[in-house]
Amino acid sequence: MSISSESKTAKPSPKPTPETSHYWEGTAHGELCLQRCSSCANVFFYPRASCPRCSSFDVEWFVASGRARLHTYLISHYAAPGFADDAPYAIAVVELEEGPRMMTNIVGVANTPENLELDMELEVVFEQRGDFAVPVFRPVVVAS
Amino acid sequence: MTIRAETVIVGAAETTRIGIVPDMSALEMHAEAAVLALADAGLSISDVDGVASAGLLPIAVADRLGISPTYLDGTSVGGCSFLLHVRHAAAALAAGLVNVVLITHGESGRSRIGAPPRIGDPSSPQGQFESPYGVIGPATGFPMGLLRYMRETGLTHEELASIPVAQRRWAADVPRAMFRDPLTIDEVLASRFVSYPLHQFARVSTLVGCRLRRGSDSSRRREAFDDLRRVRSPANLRARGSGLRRTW
Repeated sequence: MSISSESKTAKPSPKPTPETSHYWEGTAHGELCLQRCSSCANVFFYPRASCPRCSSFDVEWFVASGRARLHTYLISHYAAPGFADDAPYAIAVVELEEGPRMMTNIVGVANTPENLELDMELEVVFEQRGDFAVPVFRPVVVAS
Repeated sequence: MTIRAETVIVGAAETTRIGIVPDMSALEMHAEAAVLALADAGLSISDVDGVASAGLLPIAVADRLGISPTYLDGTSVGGCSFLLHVRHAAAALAAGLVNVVLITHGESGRSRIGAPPRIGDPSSPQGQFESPYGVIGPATGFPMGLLRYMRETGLTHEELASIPVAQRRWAADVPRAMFRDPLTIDEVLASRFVSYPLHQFARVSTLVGCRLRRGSDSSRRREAFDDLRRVRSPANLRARGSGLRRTW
């Protein structure tokens, strides 16, 4: 296999289910949508039909602020399919301002231990993966 | 949790060849390790009425070996599946559900012969919310919590590196271990990163087969120990207890 055909391997794309389609419709419009339980006020990720804290099916969608902090990460030197041009690349877990944590990538900065400090402030942007836009995060530039 | 009835692991074995074995399917690895473990215990396939396995379905392993099991355990939670199989088997033996459980693992991890595909379902939670970020397999998943753990506990990179150093020291006395040469903390820290903060030398590999025999009353316990005396080098391990803790 030539290098050029390898580089054409696409990054994995999500396949929505009925319970997650609203989330993926939101990302297509540049919005990160979360769910809040109407019974116990728990905010949770990933999308699902009932609250993982109190089991209530009375849950509502809202648009998150898109602000987050870097909770933890690793830097993979092995390239998953589609990531040959990125390796080594960070896979991160961020803690959203609203509380839930989610997995993501960090963009807008070289993915090195020196650049990626735990608890640094981040904001959501969106990257296209096939037909879907996935939320990724970039450092918040602090005005000096 | 402590399982009070006595349970004994009376046989254990690995496949004849380990490492890179390109001419053998994962299922045959299960089967060969199982036959050798039964030989180690001085028992035969016809003594077995329970099968536990992960990676491949236990019914596939049972059918391959010619076992018609009355007890099956397909608990599949990654590398610790087989420890849970031991725990479940000990409970099942104590409850009288089964007499002899065969627990097998066989992984064509490098050659991928007859091995389940690694690519997951893109509509699963992992497929939707992890895979798009380049998560594939243990190296991109297991180390995820480490940096946060190091921040919260003060664990250093040197202390982390001391774990594979200790493992290598123990492996030195195991003839079939893949890596047996002494290793230093500096060598671990100088090896390339696989998944920061973990270096190349922070890795594990296992291939194990074993079986349990029930001994929950005195006659059965005597039988179990008779088994142990009958064979030359039984594993002779007792399942004293087990535990699970969630740390995410």
